[in-house]
Amino acid sequence: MAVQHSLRQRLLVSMAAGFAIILVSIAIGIWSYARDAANHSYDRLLSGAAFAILERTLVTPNGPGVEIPYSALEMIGLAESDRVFYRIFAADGTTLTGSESLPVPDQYRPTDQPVFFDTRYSGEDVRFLLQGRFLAGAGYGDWVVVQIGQTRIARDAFAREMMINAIALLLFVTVIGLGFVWFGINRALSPLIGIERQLRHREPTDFSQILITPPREVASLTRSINGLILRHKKSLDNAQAFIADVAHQTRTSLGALHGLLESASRQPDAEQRQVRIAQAEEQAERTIRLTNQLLSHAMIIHRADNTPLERKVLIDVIRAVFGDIIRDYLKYDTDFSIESDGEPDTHTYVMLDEIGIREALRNLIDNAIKHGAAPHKIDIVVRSSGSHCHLIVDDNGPGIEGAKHASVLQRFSSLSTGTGLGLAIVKAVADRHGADLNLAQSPNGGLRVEMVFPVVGGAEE
Amino acid sequence: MRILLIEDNETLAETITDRLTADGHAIDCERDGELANDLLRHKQFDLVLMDINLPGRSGFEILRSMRARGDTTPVLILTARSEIDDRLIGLDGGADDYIVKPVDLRELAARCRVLIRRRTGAASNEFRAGNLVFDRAAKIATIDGRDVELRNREVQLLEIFIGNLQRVLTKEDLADKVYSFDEAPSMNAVEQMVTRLRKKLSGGPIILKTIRGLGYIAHIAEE
Repeated sequence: MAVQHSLRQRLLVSMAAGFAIILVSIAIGIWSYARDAANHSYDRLLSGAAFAILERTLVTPNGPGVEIPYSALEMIGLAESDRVFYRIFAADGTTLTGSESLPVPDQYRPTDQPVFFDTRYSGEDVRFLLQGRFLAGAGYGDWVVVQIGQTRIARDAFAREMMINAIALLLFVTVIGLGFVWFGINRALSPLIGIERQLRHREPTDFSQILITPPREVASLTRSINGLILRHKKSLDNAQAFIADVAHQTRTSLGALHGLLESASRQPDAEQRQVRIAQAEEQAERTIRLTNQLLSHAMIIHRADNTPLERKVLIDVIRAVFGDIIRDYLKYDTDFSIESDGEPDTHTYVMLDEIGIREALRNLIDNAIKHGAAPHKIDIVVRSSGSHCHLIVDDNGPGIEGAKHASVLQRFSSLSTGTGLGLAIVKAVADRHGADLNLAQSPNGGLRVEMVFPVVGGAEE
Repeated sequence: MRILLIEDNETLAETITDRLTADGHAIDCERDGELANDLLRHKQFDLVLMDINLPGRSGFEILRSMRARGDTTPVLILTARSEIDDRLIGLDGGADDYIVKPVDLRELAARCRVLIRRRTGAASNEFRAGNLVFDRAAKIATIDGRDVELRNREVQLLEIFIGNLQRVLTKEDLADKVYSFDEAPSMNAVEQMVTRLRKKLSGGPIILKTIRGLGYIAHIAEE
């Protein structure tokens, strides 16, 4: 569930971030547009006023003169909170009328084109217009310039208002957009939610496939889940078959033990009773062996699902586990040898489960001793051949006919008195390691069991 | 020998007690982990057999507190779990051996003998097994009362094997323990020494088994 939420959240957050970026860049655009628009309209007023004033300039006998039409200034004065400044001056800089201190850019040369500029004046932002007129006549010929300034309060208010309106509209569109995104995400996720619902409401025993016609994007997910369900069912079926087998074997074994004990207790003849008791003891031993092997087998299977393999040197692992195993076989007359053809410094690494290897080795030794006759001879050889590492266990027991090699690897398929689990455990260990398992005739006359492990990572050091 | 058995399954405890009593040991049986721990605090045993899953206090905890107190009594763990990782924890945590349930009583008795021998071998000057007597102080070993003539190094070697019954020892292990640094023995020399000792001990119960490619393991032949 948490994953589902976060997916939705992630989509929404990334969409919102995208919207925010768009919003900010549009807002920047709008701000400069709104300023331009405000300038544009108010500048026209300034132009109009300047034009009206310039029209009333004339050459008098005392030089240039002007008669300011008050309507011109009133026109500008319409913006209530703004202050207006003006000055009319001759080309030589003498002020004809108005405030003398109005600032004029240094590089200004009189022209009949209006020149606008913004600057600070008397503590406020002021927009100024400069426009000239060439006066000629009565011995005079020079420029007269009119400068009109207006504080920016009305313009800025106008720009701000435009800006706010536009952004409000944008925000509205964004919210609606995100709403669509939310809706879209939900729609897109609905097949996943459907799968989740199907899985959640499922009975633990229900191994049917998920029945949703998924959109292309989640089809492979559905397929994977269905594959997983199938594998799970198979493994459960295996486990059930195994449990059934185990139950049968254990019951049979315990039943036999019980029968022997019962018959011993009813046996009037002391000698016969001793025979029965000896048989019962043997049977108990077999039961113990069976139980240990069943647990060992179950453990191998369990570890295969739960314990990762470790990168190790096979011969080191064999040497380490052998010390543990051999203690159980000291009482048998057995000649053991461990041999490795690998140079000690060119280690080939294999992915191993040490406990699996130990169980496999233990069962091979157990089989050799159980089925062979003393003196036993068991040779363990580790041989590497480039991409593979071979573990070979040779015994001098009776061996197994080639035709029966496949069948002895099955569970509970014993050729004689064994539990029929030993080689099945070895097979399970080999499978767990992705190793090939070969049975053959050993040069010692008995069985040769060879496990071929793939080498990983090549030589190191 | 005085043995403490900590096992909560009564039937198993009874059969083990019967068997070990028949071998001539004195068995105290305790079912609760907490009580067993108290008992171990106040009384000295020659060997402790214990289950892992116990009411009150787990076997591992008992073992840990024993070792923390400096109690070196040998401990043999009886574990129902076939998950062998547990065994390793046990051995690393100071157990001397383990045996997996269902327990084969003969095997159990044999393991107990090994542990007790290892202990007496280390603790007292005299080690006895079957017809072999080894007096560590006098450096004299006798089989059936006849002297086994041992050189100094062979005595050392015998001591090492007795102290490590049923443990695999590599040639390097032996060389490290018997020779000093400057002597730098060849592995051949170690082999010859073991062969000589084996010959001298023949007729006795100690068996020095060679595992070609690995090393040696000493054990006591039963009966």
